[in-house]
Order: sequence, then structure tokens, then C-alpha cells
Amino acid sequence: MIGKRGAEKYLSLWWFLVLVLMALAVVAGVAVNTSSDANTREFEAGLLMTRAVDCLISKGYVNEQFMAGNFDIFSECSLDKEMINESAKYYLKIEAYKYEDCDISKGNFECKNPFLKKQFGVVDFENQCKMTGARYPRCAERYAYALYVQGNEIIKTVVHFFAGSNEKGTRWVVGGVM
Amino acid sequence: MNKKGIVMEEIIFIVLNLIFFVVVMLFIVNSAGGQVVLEQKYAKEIAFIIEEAKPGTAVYLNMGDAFGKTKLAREQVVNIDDKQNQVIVKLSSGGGYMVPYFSDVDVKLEVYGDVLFMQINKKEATS
Repeated sequence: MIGKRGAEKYLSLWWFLVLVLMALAVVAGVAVNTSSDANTREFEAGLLMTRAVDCLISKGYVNEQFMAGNFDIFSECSLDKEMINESAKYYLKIEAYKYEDCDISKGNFECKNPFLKKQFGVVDFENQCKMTGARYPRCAERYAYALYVQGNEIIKTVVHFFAGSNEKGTRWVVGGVM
Repeated sequence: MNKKGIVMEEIIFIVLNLIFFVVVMLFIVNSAGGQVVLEQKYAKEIAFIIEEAKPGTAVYLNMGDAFGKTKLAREQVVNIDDKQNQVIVKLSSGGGYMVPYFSDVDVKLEVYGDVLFMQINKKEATS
């Protein structure tokens, strides 16, 4: 390049190629980033869990009809039965334990022998949520103290709520789905 | 080449590089706030609002940035499919972004300027 003038030196074919390659890399990076789905599964699992908690526990008392088995959680809590049970994208588990059957001495809940257990959706999400990777669902759980009125007796219970979601959203284009 | 020529050469080189990087930066900034990103953002946000809301809730959502990036009528941007329970947001006629929601509720939408108004009610039983 020695002896060449400025414009010839910097607008040479090689320099042009370098700029094109850089531009292509940026365009590819932006395209991959903008077309990818934001990971909101854990947030949505938390929403499903919170909806169940709010619906079943009120002022510290767990819903008696639910505990007695005379409660349609879908219609009473405005949840879509078909979406949760058949879309293969959601999981909801509710377990009730007697307070005496739970050990919270180490700061963690360790409960055994649930006297009530209800599961909806994909049961295997409980195992899949332990795995790392974008294709696995994400889960949220909460233990809640609640009182259960059974006849004239008030029972101290711990209710375990566990929810999972693998809903990623879908880009839709005219003529098909991406 | 004299000293003045060498300085001009360097200036041309720096200016060309600056122009290139400014164009690249404008492309990145424009893409980050583009239709594809906004469609996904609002579809998910609206679906989560519906999932979180108790029946009887009314929500106002400012969608001025999305409405400013579409040639479609504002009433056509957000659609709710009550049967499939999913939100569809489209900012171009070529497609959009779909997000299903697990709540079984009735959602009524109205647009007032830049604001989307959502009324979420308990679904009435159909015979």
C-alpha cells in the first residue's frame, strides 16, 4: 500500500470486506437476539401458584370445600381446565399436611404424609424443573400455614403449593407459525 | 506524500469508520425497540396481567411506543381469542406474537389514544 493515496488505501477491497463482515455479524447477532423468546416461565409459574394460594386460602383459613373434595378449582378459581390439563405446558400441585407432620427446625419445610393431594397438568414437571436448559419448564413453590375447620375442630395445617410453566409464546406469521 | 496529505488521509479514515459505527449503532438501537420485540413484550405483558388479575379488575396499559410503530389501526393491534384463551399482538399485517393464558375469564378491550383499557370479568357459563 506504500505510495497509494488515502482513498485508495482505506477503500480497498480488503477494508470493504472487513466492514461487510462486521456488519453481517452485527445483523446476525441482532436477529438472533430479537427473534428469541424472553424467558418468563418462572414468573408465570409464580403467577399460577399465587392464583391458587389466593383462591384457596382466605384470612388464614383454607377453603373447607376444597379440603372436603367438593370443590372445582377450575370454575371456582377462574382457571382454564383445558389449558392446564391438556396443553402440556402447566402443572399445579396442592398438598395439605397436618402441622405436626412438618419439620421446620432447619428453616426448610420437610413435611410427610399429606392428608390431601391434588395434581393438575404435567406431573413430570416436578422432575424437569430440577434440570437446567432452555427447553425445561420452570417452577415456583410456597408453603402456607392455614387453619382448617372440620366440624367443630380446628386443625393447624401446612399447605404446599407447587406450580410449573413451560409456556414460551409463539411467533405467528401469515401462512403459518414460526 | 507531504505532511498535510498524511493528516487528511487519517481524517478520512477516522470519518469513514465513525460513519460505519454510527450506522451500526442506529441499526442496533432501532432493532432493540422494533416491532418484533414490542410484539413479544406486549403479548406477554397482557397475558400476565390477565393471569394475575382477579375477575372484576380493570387495567389501563400505555402502549404509545407500540402504537407509534404500526400502520395498523390501534384497535387491530391487540386481539384476544376467548375460545383458545390467548393474546395476539400484531404491529404489522405480516404476523404477530401469540401468548396463551391459563385464566378462564372474559376480557373486554378498548383503546383510548395511547392507552389500552382491559376489563377482566368472570366468564359466564355457556349452555
